[in-house]
Amino acid sequence: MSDKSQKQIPSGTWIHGKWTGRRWRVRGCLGVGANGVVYAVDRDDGLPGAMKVCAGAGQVAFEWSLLERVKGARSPFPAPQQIDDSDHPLAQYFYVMERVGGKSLDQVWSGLTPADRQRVLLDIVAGLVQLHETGYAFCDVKAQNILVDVSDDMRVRFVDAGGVTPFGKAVRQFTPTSDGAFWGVCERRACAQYDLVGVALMALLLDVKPPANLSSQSQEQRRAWLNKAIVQAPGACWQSILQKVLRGSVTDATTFAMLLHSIPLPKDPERPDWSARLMWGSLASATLSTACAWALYLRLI
Amino acid sequence: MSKEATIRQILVITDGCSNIGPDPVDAARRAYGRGIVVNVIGIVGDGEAAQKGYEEAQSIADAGGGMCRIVQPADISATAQMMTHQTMQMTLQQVVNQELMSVMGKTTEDLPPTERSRVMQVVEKLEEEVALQLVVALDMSASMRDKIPTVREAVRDLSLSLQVRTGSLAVAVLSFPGKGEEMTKLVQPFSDKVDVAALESALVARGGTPTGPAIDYAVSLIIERRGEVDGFDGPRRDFA
Ligand SMILES: Nc1ncnc2c1ncn2[C@@H]1O[C@H](COP(=O)(O)OP(=O)(O)OP(=O)(O)O)[C@@H](O)[C@H]1O
Repeated sequence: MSDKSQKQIPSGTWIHGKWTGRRWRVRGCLGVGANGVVYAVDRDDGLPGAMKVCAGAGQVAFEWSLLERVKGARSPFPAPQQIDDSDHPLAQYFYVMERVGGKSLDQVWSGLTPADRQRVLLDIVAGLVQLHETGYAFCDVKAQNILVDVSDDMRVRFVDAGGVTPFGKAVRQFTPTSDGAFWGVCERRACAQYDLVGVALMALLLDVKPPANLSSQSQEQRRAWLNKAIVQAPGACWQSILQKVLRGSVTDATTFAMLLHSIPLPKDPERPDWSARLMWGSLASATLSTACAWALYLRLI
Repeated sequence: MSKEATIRQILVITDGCSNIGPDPVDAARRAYGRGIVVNVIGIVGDGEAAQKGYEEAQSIADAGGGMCRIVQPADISATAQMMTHQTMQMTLQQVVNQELMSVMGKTTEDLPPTERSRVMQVVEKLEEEVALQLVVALDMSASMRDKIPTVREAVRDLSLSLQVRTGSLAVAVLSFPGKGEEMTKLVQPFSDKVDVAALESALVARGGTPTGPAIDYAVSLIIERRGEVDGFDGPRRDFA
């Protein structure tokens, strides 16, 4: 177990892998979690990566095996690169994975336009479609575990595969507010629906703050709050879809994605959509051609 | 896996220092000697007494081979499930390590990292399938009064996590102190889920903090259930 005050590897340090013979140069810390520390690293051949260091060899090997099981060209999770040990006291056991760009969803959400939010939600669900095809559920859906790259067309990726669980098995790692069982909505068992409920709860709670005494409430009270919150949530048009998910009538990611896809993207004030542009463009060119006609008629040109 | 491998744990949820009966650290050591892991969740308080409570909580967990976390009431629920999961994993890893040692003369750490993943997959599978006996011991001393609803929901929530495992679950709940002069009270005997109604009616905060007697009582419940008193029995033997 690592705690947040633990010492970190200084930037510039080379970590020598004992088993692979590779070396990685530490460029900085990407994040500290309950299970370990993640560093930005460059491999000796220049390949960028993210190095996760945990206190125990077991935890490292376990997370590695999860990444291996859900990998694939379109996997929402970072691709695994190498697992290794080193003699560095702060990197005894580690694995290296693809470095993912962007910031976590909780950091960027407030700055997103309604249309971008909808696009991001759709991408998250699309990521789940990919993941669920492998027979695994994410289980630890939360805004901190979803990175959104605003500079790269809102590309959405998942981090922290620690909660990934085969369908049908008990969920081991979750966050209460994104956990359907905590809210009395579903069982705490890994399945597609568990993840979808997690996304719906996350989306709702990004906009509405849960009551302070949530932990002392019974499941019935929590559910009642949820039902109220969802109708009162600030007018996003996907609210009715979230409602369906939380009622349990959407059980696979593809259906969720189709529902999200079917609502028209809200119009962003600062970015008029193409139909408006077409209209103004046509008007402008109509005006221009009329002007040209007059000019021709009057033999001005 | 043999007939039915069982993991045995005690989870103590407390907000203070014990002040009645035998030393809880000794009680935890006795429990661990019988293959029962003792985990402790300490609830954050303030002042010097709280500090003493934290130290005792840590010592109980150390002696009981378990984990200790000091948390806000709102985090009891998530912490309880995380600790149960991690200590089950720890116990199973020890078991698997011993097995590796006897078969190959190697520890997990001696294996190449890619092979360790396979060992951990075995641990993952065992964790899902192993039977779990859990006694939750709830501190119901006077200072716990306003935390009762949160603790009750946390216990119910923990049960939701454990009920969906493939392996069987036997969970008992006791509170300390008990009624009148009694040190402990059985809120619910071993059952395959938490009885919420029993929890609702039985949790009343009063009196001091007999943590040691509570741990001893939890151990006796587990041993009674095992049907035989067979002295020092680490988790190892169940898996042989
Ligand atoms: N592949 C990656 N690329 C870029 N950043 C990453 C990557 N993996 C993790 N991070 C960053 O590091 C942080 C901690 O990583 P991670 O969530 O895996 O740790 P953890 O110990 O499992 O955390 P948690 O407390 O969520 O369980 C993440 O929140 C993320 O910001």
